[in-house]
Amino acid sequence: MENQLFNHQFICRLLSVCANHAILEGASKTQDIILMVSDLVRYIYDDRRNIVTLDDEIDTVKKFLLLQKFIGLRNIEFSLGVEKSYNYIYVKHLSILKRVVEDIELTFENTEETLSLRYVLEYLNSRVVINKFLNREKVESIVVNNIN
Amino acid sequence: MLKNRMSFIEKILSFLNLNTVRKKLIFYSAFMVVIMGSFNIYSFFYVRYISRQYNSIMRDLYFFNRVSVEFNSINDSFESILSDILNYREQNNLYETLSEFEDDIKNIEKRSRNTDNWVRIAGLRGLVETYNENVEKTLTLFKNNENYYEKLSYCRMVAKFINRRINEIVSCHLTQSSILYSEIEENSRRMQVYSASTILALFVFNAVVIVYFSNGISRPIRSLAKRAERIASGDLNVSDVLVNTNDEVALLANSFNKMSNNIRKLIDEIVEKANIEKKLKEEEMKNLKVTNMLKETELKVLQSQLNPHFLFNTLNTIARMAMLEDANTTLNLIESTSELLRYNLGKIKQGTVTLRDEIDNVKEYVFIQQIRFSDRITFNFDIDESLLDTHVPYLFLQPLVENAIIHGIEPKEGKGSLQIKVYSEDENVMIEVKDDGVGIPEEKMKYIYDDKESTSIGLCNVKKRMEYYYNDSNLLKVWSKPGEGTLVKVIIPKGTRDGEINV
Repeated sequence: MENQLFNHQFICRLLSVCANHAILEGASKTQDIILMVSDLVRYIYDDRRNIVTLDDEIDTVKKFLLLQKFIGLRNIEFSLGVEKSYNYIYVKHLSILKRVVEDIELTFENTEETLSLRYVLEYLNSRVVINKFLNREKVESIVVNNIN
Repeated sequence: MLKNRMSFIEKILSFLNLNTVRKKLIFYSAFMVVIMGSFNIYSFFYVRYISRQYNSIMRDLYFFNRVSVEFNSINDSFESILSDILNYREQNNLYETLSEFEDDIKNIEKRSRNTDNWVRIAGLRGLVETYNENVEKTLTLFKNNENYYEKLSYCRMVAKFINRRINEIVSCHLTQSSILYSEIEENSRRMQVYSASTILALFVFNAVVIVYFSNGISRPIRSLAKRAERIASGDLNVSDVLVNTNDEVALLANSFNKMSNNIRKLIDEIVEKANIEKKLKEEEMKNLKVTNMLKETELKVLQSQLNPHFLFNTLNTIARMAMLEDANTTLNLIESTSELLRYNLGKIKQGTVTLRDEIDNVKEYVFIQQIRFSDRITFNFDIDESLLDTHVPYLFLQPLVENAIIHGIEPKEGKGSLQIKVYSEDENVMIEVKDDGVGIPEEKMKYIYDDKESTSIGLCNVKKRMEYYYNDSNLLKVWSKPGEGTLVKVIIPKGTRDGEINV
């Protein structure tokens, strides 16, 4: 019951009010970021989403990575190599974002040096393969099942 | 005693290897045939023996009677010859008859050598020889016309002796026969008693054996039938059928015992299996719950990773950016949002808070809504400050205020007002959230506590938590009239402290 107490819609509505006032006050960058946070919160906390398109998951990962840069982790460079749209591929909700969050925590939290983290997604034999490169060196390949 | 006899019989049957009902019946039939046959044979030979003795008596009597008649006939023939009634040829026949008569007497003398009559019969034989001799002399004298009267009178005297002797012999024989007959009669009576006793004994033996065999067969079968009936009706706690024999009935009883035991074991196994399966299912359900919890936890971990650090950091950064962009109102809004978020997430585990915390949080929320709606909504707080230390369920008030704004005032055209009132009534602290919005349609009032119908945390969640904390389902009440507004009243039992409610 307590888990129901955190109402992400409530937070999103508040963030929406903030974003609207940011526009009124001409703070367009603030508004962009607020909307990005609102989208991210809505996506992450939406319990009704069990399966999402690969595109939605990738968009969320991109927003998360942008916000990570925005909040100050500037010694990190990362990119997501996605060559085409994957609207027809379905993956488990947060399956990729979860790995990225863990990677960021493990890789960057206790280091001061500039590291390059790059993800390249491939679609092979009905599976999504996330190839992870750290400083241009492939360190891991993660397989995410296509739930089609 | 009977059991000992039974076991003795069983030992005999076992010794004779009579281990089947068929063998027992054949053996018993053969035994009875031998017993009855022996008895019949004995009776047959005994009756024949008696019959022979009786015939012997009768034959001798008949013989001596015939001897008497024959001798009288001979004597008459002799007298007739002398009276010239018979011719001379008849004389030769008389000699032959006399000779045959003498031979008969001799034969009977030989046969009666070991009897009491033997002396008399021997005397008779002597008299007959004398008679024959004198008859012959008399007839010779008669033939030669000589004086034969002396010889004739001698013959007549001998004939008298012979008749007297025959009567003596018959009389003696009758006396002896009466003794023998008495013996025969006694033996016959004894034989009748023996026969009756034997038949009675056989009848009793037969009855005992029949009762024993029929019991040996029917009792276990009745017992089997009763147990089978109990098993058929579902009662499996039946004792084993005990059979002392080693025949087909014992085989049947043992098979039945094995079957019932196996059924019992099988049922026990099935029950045990069902219990295990139930436990396994429960375990599976637990595992599933654990798995779901883990998945949920996994999600929550990710979410919590984002909540405290990421979200607050992001909001702080946004606030700094708003300040840089000279958007002071946005800055205040972001700060209030951050505070609300902190309250929302920070006290989840706490369970209860003071009413003061709840009111402060609502004020923070109202601040945001006032900026959003400007003068379109008028907020009015009527709070009895003395009640603010009352312990209340965490986050019960904000959803009510949010509902009033979103579903009550926001859809309304024109201005609206929202009043939050805290006061004391009887032994309770009363909290009212009253709006003059569009109200709740009657059809929606039915589903007002249905969380599926609600767009926010909703009344259902608040009502459930109130019920859980205070064990009372009537602590949240809603009155609404379409077009006029809604009043939500929450009743907090006075005097409840943190430790006194279900946390």
